[in-house]
Amino acid sequence: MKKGRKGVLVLVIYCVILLSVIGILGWRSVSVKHMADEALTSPAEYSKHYALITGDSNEQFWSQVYESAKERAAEEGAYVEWFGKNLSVSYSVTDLTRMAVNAGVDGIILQATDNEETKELIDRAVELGIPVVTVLSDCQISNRQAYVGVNNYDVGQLYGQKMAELIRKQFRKNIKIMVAVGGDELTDDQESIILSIRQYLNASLPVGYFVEVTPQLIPQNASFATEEFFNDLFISSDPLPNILICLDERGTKCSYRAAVDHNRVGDTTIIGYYYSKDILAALEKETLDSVLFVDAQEMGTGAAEALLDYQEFGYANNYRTVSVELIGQVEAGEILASEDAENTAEGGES
Amino acid sequence: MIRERIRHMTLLEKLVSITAIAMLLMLVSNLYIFSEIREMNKQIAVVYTDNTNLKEFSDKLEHLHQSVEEYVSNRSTEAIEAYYRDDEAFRQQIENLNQTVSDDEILLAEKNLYGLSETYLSLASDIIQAKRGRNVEKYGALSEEAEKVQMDIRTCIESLNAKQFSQSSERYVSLMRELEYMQNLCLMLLLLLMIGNIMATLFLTGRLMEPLRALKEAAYSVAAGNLDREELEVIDLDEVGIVTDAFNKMLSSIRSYIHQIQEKNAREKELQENEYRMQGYLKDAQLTALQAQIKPHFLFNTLNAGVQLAMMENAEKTQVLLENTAAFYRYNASKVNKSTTIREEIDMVDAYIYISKVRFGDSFIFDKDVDESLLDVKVPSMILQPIVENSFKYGIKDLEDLGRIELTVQRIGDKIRIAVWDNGRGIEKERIQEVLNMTDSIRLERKESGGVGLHNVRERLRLFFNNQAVLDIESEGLGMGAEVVITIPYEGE
Repeated sequence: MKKGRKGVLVLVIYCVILLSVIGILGWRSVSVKHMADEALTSPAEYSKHYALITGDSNEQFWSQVYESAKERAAEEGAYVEWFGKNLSVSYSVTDLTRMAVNAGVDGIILQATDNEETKELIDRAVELGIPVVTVLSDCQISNRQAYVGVNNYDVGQLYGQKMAELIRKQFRKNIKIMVAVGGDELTDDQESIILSIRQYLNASLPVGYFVEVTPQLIPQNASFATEEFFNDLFISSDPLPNILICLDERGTKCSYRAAVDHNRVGDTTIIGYYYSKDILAALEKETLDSVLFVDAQEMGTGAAEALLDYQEFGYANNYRTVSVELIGQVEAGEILASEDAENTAEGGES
Repeated sequence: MIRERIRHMTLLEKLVSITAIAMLLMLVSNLYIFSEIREMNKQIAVVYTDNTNLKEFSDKLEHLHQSVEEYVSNRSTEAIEAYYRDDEAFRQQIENLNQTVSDDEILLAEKNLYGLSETYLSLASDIIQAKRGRNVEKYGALSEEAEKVQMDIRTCIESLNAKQFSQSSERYVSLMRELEYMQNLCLMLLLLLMIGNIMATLFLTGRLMEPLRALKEAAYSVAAGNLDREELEVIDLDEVGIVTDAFNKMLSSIRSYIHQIQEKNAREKELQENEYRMQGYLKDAQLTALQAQIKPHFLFNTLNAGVQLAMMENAEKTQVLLENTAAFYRYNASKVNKSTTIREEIDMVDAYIYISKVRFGDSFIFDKDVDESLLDVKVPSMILQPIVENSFKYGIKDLEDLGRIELTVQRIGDKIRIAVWDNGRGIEKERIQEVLNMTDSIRLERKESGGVGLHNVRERLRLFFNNQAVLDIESEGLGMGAEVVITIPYEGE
C-alpha cells in the first residue's frame, strides 16, 4: 500500500513536470508566432505627414524641437518625421528639402538659409501645395508660410547685456570681442545679432570704452574645421580676445574644449550658444561663462502649430518668436540636478 | 473492461504493447518537436523576405531607368516597348509599398519611397513625352531631375534595406535565441519522455516479473520443504498466471497426498500399537496360565490316576472332585490364548465352584441366571473364572454370614450383560478405579498374582471387542457387596 502511494506520488510529480514543459513549449511557440505577427500588425496611422529638416540632426537642441513638434502634431493626427535622419547617406538641407517635396509630404518644417536655392525649393513646395514653416533661421525671400524662431535683435541685446556686465567687471577700456560663426559668410540672422550687440554696447557703455566686436567666420571646408580653428586660436601667440562668443553649438563645444586642452581656461571669457549635457557641465565648472538658451520645445510646438493652423484655416501666423535667455553656472547646476533626479526616477521605475 | 482485457493478454502481447507504447510516445513527441522547429525556421525565413523584395524593387527601377535612358538616346521602338513594360512592372512593384502615414520608421520610409517613385514615374513619363516632342531642353532638364530622384530612391532603398536588415537581424537574433531555448525545452521534453518510458517499462515489466519472482520464491520455499505456505495470487491470466495456478493446484495436491499418507501412517501405527499391547496382555495371561500349569502333565496324570483309584474304591465324591479339578486345569491349559464361548466359560466357573465347595464346604451359595441363547457367544478365554475367583477371594471368603455369589448372563438390547455379584465385603469407590487401572506389574509387586487380574481381563475384553466391551465394578461401599459387570456387544446369531 505504502509502495503504491509512493508510486502514485512519483507519477503525479512526473506528470506535473511533463505538463509544465509541454505548457512552456506551447506558450513559447505561441509567443514566437506572436512575435512574428507583431511585425505584420500595422502601427498607429496618421492623416498628415510632416517633415522636419535640419542642418545637423545630431544636435540635442533639434532633438527637443523634433520631440515637441511631433507631440503637438500627433494631437491633431499628424506625424512629424525627422527627415533624412534614417538615411544611410548624409544629405544637405536643400537636397533633403527636394527629396521631401518629391516624396509628397504634407508639410515641411525647415531650418532654412536665406539663399536662392532654398527659396526656389520652398517656393516649389508651396506651389505643389506643401506648406513650409521655417524654424530658427529664416528664408525671408521665400513664400514660406511661417517662421518660428528667435528674434535676432533680442538675441543681440541679450548678448550685449551680458558683455557690458563682463566688461564692467574686467575694468578694461579696450575690449576685443570675437563672434565665431561656422560658414563661409554671415547670414542675415547672424549679421542682425552682431549689429544688435554693437548697438547695445554703444548705448550702454560709458564714453571712453573701446569695444571691438569682430565676426570670425569658420569655413566648413574640411572635417574638424571648427576643432582645428579653436586649437589654432588657443595655441597661437596672438593675444586671445577678451570675450569669445560662439553662435552655434559646435563652436561652443570646440572652444571650451580647446581652452581646457591648452590650459587656458579663464584667459578668455566664452559665451556659448545653446546647451547640451557637456556644455552644462562646462558651465558648472565655469569653463564657459554663459550660453544662450533658446526654448526648443516652444519652437517645436510653434512650428507644428503653424503647419496645423495653415492646413486648417488656410493661413498661419507669419512670425512667431521663441523666448531666449542666457544661463550661467547657477542655472546649469539646477538643470543638471533636475535631470539627475529625473534619471534616477526613471531608473527606479524601470 | 480494459483491466479485464489486460488480465487476459499473453506475455508476448504485453511485451509488444509496452514496446509499441514507448515507441509511439517517442514518435509523437518527435513529430511535435519537429513541427515546432519547422515553424520556427519558417519564421526565420520570413525575416529576410522584405530584403529580397527591396532587391527586386531596386532591379525594376534600374530596368526602368535604363529603358528611359535607352529611349532618350536612340528613340527606338524596342526602347519604348521596354519602357512601357518596365514602367508597368515598376508600378506594380510600388503598389506593394506602404502609402499611409505611420509612426513606424520602415513603413514611413516605404511611404517616402512610394512618393519618390511616383515622382520618378511622372518625370519618366514627361521625359518620354518631351523626347517624342523633340523638346531637347525640357527632356534634358527632366533627365537631370529624374537622375537625382532615381539616386534619391536608391538612397532610400539602401537606407530602408539597412533598416530592415538591422531590424530583421534583431528579430533573427531573438528568434534564434528563442529557437535555442525551444531546442533546450525539446531536449528536456525528450529526456522526460525517455525517463517516463523507462519508468513505464520498468513498471510494466515489473508487473510481468513480479508473479514470476513470487513463483520462483514459492518454488524454492516448497523445495526447502515448506508446504504450508499460502496460495500464490493469480494477477493476470497470461502464461505466468496459468503456471502460477498450476503451481497452486500442484501444491494443494501434494499437501492432500501428504495428509493422506500421514493419516494412513497414524492408523497403522495405532494398529501396530494395539497389536503390541494385545500381545503383551496375552503374554501376561500366558504367564499367569503357565504359572498355573505347574507341571500340568504330571498333574493331569496324577489326577487321572486319582479318578481311576476313586472309581476302583467306589469313592464317588472323590472321583467327581478329581474330574472337576482335572477339567479346570485342562481348560486352563488348553484355552490359553484362544477364544471360547460363554458356555465353556460358565463350565469353567462351575468346575471352580465345585472345587471351592469341596474345599470350603457350604459356606457360600452360588446361583446363576443365564440366557441360554447367549451360551455360544464368543468371548476371550479366562474372563469369568478370574472374576468369580475375585468375588470369592476378596468378597465372601472371610465372611461370617453365608456368602452368596450370583452369575447373570442376559441380553439388554444390542448388548450382553454378564454380571458376577457377591454380598461380600464390598469395595470403596476410590479403590474401584485403583483396582481397574492396576497393572499386572503393580500386582506382582504386591505379590497378589494369584490369578489373572481384573485389569488384565478388562484389557483383553477391550482388545477382543475393539473397545466396545466394558468391565465395571459397582459397590455401595464396605460391607455392601460388589458386582463386577461385563458389557459386550451382541452381534446376533
